[in-house]
Amino acid sequence: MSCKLQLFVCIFFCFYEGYALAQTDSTIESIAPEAETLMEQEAEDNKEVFDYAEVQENLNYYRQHPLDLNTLTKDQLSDFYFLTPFQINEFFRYRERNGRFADPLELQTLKSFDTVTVHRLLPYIIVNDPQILDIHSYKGSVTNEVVMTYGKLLQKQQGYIIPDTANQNRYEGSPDHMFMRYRIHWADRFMISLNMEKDPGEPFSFTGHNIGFDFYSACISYKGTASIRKLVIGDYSLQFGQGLALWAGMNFNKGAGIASVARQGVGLKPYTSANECLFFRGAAAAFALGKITFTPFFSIKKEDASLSVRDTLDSTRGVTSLNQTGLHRTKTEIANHDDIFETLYGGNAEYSSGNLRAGANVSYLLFSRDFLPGRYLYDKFYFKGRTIADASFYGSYNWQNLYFFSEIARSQPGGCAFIAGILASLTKQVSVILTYRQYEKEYYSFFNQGLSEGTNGTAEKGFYSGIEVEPVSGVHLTVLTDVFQFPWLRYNADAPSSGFELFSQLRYSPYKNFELSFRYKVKGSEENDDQDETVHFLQQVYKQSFRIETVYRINFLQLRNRAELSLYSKDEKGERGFLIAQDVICKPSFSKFRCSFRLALFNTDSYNSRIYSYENDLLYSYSIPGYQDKGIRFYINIGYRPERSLDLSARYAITSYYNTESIGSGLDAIEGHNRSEVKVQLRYAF
Amino acid sequence: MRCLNLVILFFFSVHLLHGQEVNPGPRFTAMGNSGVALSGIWSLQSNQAGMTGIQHPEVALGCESSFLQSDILTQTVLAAIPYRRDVFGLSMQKYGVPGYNQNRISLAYSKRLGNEVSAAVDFNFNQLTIDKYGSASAWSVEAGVQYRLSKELTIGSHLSNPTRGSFDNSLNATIPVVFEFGTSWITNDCLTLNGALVLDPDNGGDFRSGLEYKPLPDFSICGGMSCHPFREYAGFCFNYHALGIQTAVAFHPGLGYSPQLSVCYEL
Repeated sequence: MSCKLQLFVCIFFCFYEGYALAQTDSTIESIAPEAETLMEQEAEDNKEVFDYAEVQENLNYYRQHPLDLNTLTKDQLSDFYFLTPFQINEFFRYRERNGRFADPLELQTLKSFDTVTVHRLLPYIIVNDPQILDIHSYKGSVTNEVVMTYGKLLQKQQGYIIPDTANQNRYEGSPDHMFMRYRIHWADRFMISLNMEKDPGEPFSFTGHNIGFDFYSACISYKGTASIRKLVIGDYSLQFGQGLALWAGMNFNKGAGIASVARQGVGLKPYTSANECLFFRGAAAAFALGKITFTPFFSIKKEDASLSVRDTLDSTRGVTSLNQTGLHRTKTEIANHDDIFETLYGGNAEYSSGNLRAGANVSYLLFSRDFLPGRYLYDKFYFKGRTIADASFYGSYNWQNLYFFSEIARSQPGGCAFIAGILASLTKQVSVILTYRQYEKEYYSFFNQGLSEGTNGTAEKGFYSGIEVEPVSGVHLTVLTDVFQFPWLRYNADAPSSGFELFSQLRYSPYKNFELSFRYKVKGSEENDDQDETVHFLQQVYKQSFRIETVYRINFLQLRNRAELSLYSKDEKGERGFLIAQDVICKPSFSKFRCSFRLALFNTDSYNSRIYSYENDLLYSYSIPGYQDKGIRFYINIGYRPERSLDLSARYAITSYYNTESIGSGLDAIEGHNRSEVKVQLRYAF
Repeated sequence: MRCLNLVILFFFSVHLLHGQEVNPGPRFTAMGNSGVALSGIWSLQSNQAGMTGIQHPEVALGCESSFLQSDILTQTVLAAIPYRRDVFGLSMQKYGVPGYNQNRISLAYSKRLGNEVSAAVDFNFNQLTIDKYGSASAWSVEAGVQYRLSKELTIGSHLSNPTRGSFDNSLNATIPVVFEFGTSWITNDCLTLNGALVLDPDNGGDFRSGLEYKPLPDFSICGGMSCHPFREYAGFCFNYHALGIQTAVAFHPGLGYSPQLSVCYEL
């Protein structure tokens, strides 16, 4: 599991002119509960935990530059992931029919906007007097933001102890983690973004192939209102349809609430995330011709790949797998770094009018080396060869209280993938979603992120349904179920298998400062047995978890208590895990200081009954450690804002295990029973 | 204060339910088999206290095919006759395959006690018949009660076979002992939500939930799920004057689909 520790260290440049950081920390975008749940779910499923920073950054920007309700576009409104398609469509219908909004609170007159949603949206919206000059004219403000973070594990891991002379795999670089991000915004039109990162273990040097940091990402982006709507040169991401063919970047998969399952692809976006793969590098633009938007794109970038000789008769090397962790610490990882070229080009056309949205995209992907056929039966249908083309049609339609969405995609060589669903707002208190998906095993796309249980988004059939009920104000019940089948073998499942998943949560918030929630999750799936035989048979695996959590606020103090029990069973074997945690978050508005800390006790039988828990971290850093074995975890974050444009923060976290002499394994092994880390960050805006 | 009675039960064991399941009819099945607080003629096979809503004599026929590929068929005939504030019900259910049958004849009596409370008692004669082996029989009793908290909210409770009536011990067929407790909430004219907790001392517990959505006055769509074992349900109901048609399908991830159909007629 690659859990990125992103550290930021700010550098002073000069006194600021123009915009600064938000006045108090209560206005800094804090992470939403749905995003917490989503990240915990992704960590549990061993999926890449997406960099929520791109969402948070967007929202932070809107806090400081609120959107005018009378001029905002559909793409901008889609950035608020907590809005449902009904709300977005009703907003534009209302604006078209009734003209200008007089006040942000006028949103409450819209049927689909409940009070909670309006209050959630309020910090980001504004209504400008048309008599006064538009403050977002291109002669307007230029804002810069620099964030630099530094972090380090205090104990030495095995990978750093092995000397260079020994002919073994080791970490070639230092254990420091450094991340720097720089943004320039010029009014609402231009943005320049630069990210630089060095993960722990990666070398930082300017010799040979190295140019300092291990990962650089930059882009220049333009947003306009004329024919050229968007233009990005550099790193960008694309999000179309329901994600079956082309979707790079953050996605709200299962478990985050029902409305976000019906995706609203925003198309072209500049890439500002820290993830080192699944983005494009080149140029793309969005042209609007009436109600149709065309988005041609081109990308050429290098990928990390493991190469191997095809067989004893053919010595040309082919790709056995792509390395998508972005880590280049050991000699092998460094040798695989940027080993092949990936070229992508294609285009998208989308029609959007009122309640209907429909589009099509075509893309062609070419690698500089062949992908070798898989060696095992389960990867028989994985990509092989050098090229692949993907095409898809998608559409969505809002009819009264129903929202239909669908996408069908085809890969060549390959097969088809299909998804269709209905989101229904049955009453003001009840919403339901039903989605059916079928991804053929021959279908393949490198950039698909459709709703799926498996990590590849292929060879899967499933039915996902969910309901959200708010019987009385303050009580919120969510139940999500997924039934899935895999028609082909998978890693660790030597036969077609099936399973189900149930997520249920009840939140009770009788008044603003208190919230109580119960959560129950169960997942049943099939895996190979653990016998030491040549032929494996499938066995049922059940994972259940129960959680109870309370959140209460007293003035500037927020207290969170959580207790969680996890149960794992496979065959007759059962395992249990338990976690109890107390969080304190202190953000007084009268003080320049803020702090938050947690003390947690955990006791799990083993890795299978581990529990993931989202932790508060420094801004733009996300920590979702897996609590496993027995021990105590403590962390503290302290922040200091001496003036509006400058923010300093630091974090110390330690996990102390009982009854163990070493932690981890392989190159990550640590002698002793403590694992602690330190992070510092500087943010400066001018 | 109104509170929502959907409580999630913690359960740990996974056991198979032996013996026939009493088929509660397509509408209740489509709502996740959570009909303990609902009413209608099919309450005769669920919570008999729900029969008290019947104003006119009514008959119903139902047929279910379990797990499409198997031969297991469940056929049911029901009749309900109201008499003043009471309702009598008679049902016959036949479950099995050619050569193996579990039959059940039930006689139920439900009574309205005041405006909010209904209670019922039901006597069942269960018979197991296996070709060339003969037959065995057993009696069992059921009791149920429903309480209308308000126009929107009803709670119901039902107990099956508290006396543990059973066939001969050598037979691998049982009459389950089941306790059910649930609620039904009518949110507005279009939508009803149900939830029920089911406890079976021999086989663990279950939580079931379902909803019924009426886009048109005579047409409704139902959906539901149960946790243990995990199953999903869907169906729709259609009324035409005195005739009612209900259909449902239950889906089990391993075993597949079980469709069923029922026709009711109000005399």
